[in-house]
Amino acid sequence: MSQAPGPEASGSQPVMFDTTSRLVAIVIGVVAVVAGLVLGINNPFLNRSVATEGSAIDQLFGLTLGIATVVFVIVQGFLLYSIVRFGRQPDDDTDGPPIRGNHKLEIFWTVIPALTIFFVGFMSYQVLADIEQPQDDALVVEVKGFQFAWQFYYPEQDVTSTEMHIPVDRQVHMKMRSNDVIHSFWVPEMRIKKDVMPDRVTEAFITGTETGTYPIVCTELCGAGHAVMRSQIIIQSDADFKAWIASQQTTASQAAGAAADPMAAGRQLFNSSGCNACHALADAGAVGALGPELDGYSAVAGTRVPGQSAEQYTLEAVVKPNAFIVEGFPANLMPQDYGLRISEQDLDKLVTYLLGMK
Amino acid sequence: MVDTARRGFVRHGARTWRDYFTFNTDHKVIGIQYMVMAFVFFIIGGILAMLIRAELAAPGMQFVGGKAYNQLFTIHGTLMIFFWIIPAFIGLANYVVPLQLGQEDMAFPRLNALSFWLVVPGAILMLTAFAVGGAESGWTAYPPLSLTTHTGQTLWAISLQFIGFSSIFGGLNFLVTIFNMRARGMSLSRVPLMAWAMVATSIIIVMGTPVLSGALFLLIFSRILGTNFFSSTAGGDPLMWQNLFWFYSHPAVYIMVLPGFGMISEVLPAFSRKPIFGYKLIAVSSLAIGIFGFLVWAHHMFTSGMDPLLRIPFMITSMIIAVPTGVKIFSWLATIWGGKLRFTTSLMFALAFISMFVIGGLSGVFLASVPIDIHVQDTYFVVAHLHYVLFGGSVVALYSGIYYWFPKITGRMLNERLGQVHFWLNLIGFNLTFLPQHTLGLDGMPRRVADYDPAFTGLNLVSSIGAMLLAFSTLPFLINVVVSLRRGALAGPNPWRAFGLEWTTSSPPPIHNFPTPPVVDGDPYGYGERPVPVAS
Repeated sequence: MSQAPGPEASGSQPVMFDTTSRLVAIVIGVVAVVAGLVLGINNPFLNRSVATEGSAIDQLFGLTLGIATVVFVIVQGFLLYSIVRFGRQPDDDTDGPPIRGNHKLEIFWTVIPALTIFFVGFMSYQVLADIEQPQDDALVVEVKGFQFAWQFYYPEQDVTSTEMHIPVDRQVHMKMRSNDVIHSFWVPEMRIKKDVMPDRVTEAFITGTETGTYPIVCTELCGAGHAVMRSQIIIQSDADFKAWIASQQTTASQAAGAAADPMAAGRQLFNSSGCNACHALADAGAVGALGPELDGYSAVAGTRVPGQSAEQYTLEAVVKPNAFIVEGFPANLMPQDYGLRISEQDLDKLVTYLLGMK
Repeated sequence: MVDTARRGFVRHGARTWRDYFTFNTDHKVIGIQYMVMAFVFFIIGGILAMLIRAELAAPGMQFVGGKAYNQLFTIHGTLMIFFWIIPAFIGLANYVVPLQLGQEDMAFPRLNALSFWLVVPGAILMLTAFAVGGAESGWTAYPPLSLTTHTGQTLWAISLQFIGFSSIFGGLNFLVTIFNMRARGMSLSRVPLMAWAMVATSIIIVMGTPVLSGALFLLIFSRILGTNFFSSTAGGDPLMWQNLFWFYSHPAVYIMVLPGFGMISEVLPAFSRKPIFGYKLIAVSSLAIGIFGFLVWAHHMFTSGMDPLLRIPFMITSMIIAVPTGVKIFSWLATIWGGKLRFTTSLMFALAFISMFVIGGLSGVFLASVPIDIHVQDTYFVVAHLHYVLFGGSVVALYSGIYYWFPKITGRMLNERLGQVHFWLNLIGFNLTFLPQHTLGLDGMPRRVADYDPAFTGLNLVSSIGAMLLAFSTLPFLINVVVSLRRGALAGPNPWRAFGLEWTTSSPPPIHNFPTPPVVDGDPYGYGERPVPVAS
């Protein structure tokens, strides 16, 4: 800018920083630093994390919040002060001082933010390296997401569940995969989130620090039931966890000997296939509300489509859900690939179960 | 003049309101066509937002659940981005930039008209999507979900192709115009910052939009021809869509905010009666944002399972964007510092822009940090962030620009009292709506859900009340525009006593803008140095 005189070049330079504005600038600076320290050290915006990795993220959040608060107070402070101080008198039509720039100031507010941002970046890198460190004794859990439910498989224990149980203070190594579209596994209280992709395994590591039950939330839009695609993570003591595994193995072995109790096998399938996410059924403890309620279903199954037996109708309702839509429910809501997901034998068991309840 | 105005089916200039519905080649007519159409879509998108907030006012599903809800936010996001903010800025710039450069039109008037008229079939297709099952996989349309949904999704993609080509033609037009058509004496260092912002914006449009078009073609082929670009079992990759989509759509954020930066850089000097502080650094920082904007896209994919090591460079580049943005904020603060502020509605929106945009910028640093992003990605924290950038930033800047140039465009002043009512309702409504959403996201509320944990009821209710207020705030603005068009005080050529060539011609300008080609002897920020130029 050839014609732009710097502040030093201009002869009749008015005082830009008089005593009042110097004082105000100092006050804004002090308030900014104090507010930054207070909010940075006890950040009020996050509830307590119940994972080792989550606590590391929270500390980084606090640091970033502190720095952001300093910038926030400085900008808003100078803005407010300018509004209060530099309003023109009603009849004043003169111009302000023609100041076109100040190289020192411009270098200052380019370099200082750059250094700050590199510091935040470096700290973020350190935390990231720290929270994704796999450990040898980690418990492996295979997470499967499908529209609109979660399933957890413990390969070392050969247990499948719709809730995730993990022992406290032991790293859990999650290997995740989706059956259909992209989902995302999030436990807000543990700050862990990872997308669950079809035909590809994604991994995440998490270490619970406090026993309790916390929600698992799907955070990637996955269709009509996205909002209700939820489960729970139960962090428990090592003893409780082992007991739970044992109880599940018994249930599983009972299910394996299902010839004796086809109803138990069907109930197990109903929940493990994710039917429970959308359909309410008292017998299975299911409370899903997206699809038709299934209590009392066996009484109406044979009456839905003329010429179709209850068995034929039920099978079709599972594998070709659009063939008949119950009044009040939209078409295309229910996934149409259960015929591929569930084996023929298991489909038979499911039909038997659904029609077996009186 | 009148004879050249009508040549075959092409018209140039508007004499009656009917001319605004023609393939008109006058940049001023096209600017108004863009702005009015965009505002109609702002209202439609706003009504969809009201339905969303009505559903979210209480937990459970009351009005719209599941699929219908997904359609609402999908079309809301798409309309607001592609049919409101981008065309509104393009429209205002279309009107103003040739005037600022002292030219009689854009470089390619017919291409300019084509740009506008491509938006119309796009808009029709986009709204038809509702009738054929709707697009319901979010404005981001991630496959495989976007491959499983209804025909509406195909219309959505074809519609965006129209918008994309419209953008590309528009961007080319601005670049050629600004680099080749300037008044005598207007060296590059005397180009108004609004025009510099359009240079940066147009570079992004021209480099980024073709990638979106390519991605949309792949999506369309996958939907109607059954190709497998996004299916891993057949050798494709769903992440490829995310990479291509964000390669355009992150820079698109700067398409939506850089013109706003330009407007603020015009408004602040005029109402502070001071030259812009640090002209060069502001112009350079726009270009820096334009270039760095292309190196940050994967920060939208930090939790996607992308290569873990690659997240680090993307984190660093994303954070670096804060530096040129900060430079602008500080330069604007230095511009008003020591000035003689005249609190017109336009200036108040500009000041609110600084205040609100800083919040959006700072929450952006949280999102750039990979570990923090792991927690807040895809939550209401992101919804809050993007609305502070795109509403608190873009829309507020746009209002500032509209209040500033309305007298030039119409020849009449907007009513200041109604303007103040609009401003305060808007500011309060906006913050009530979006400030609580930061906390909701941090506490565990995911985005794109029709139902939520009852623990989040209170803040959601506040947000919904704020949204109703925000919607209501548009009413005084509309009344103001309609009434002022007929009864507003006459503006005269230069009601703000501002520099800039657009203020040296009559309001509204004659058909070819300037009776004699203007000559420039300085940049348009000579406040306190030179007398304000008089209209010729």
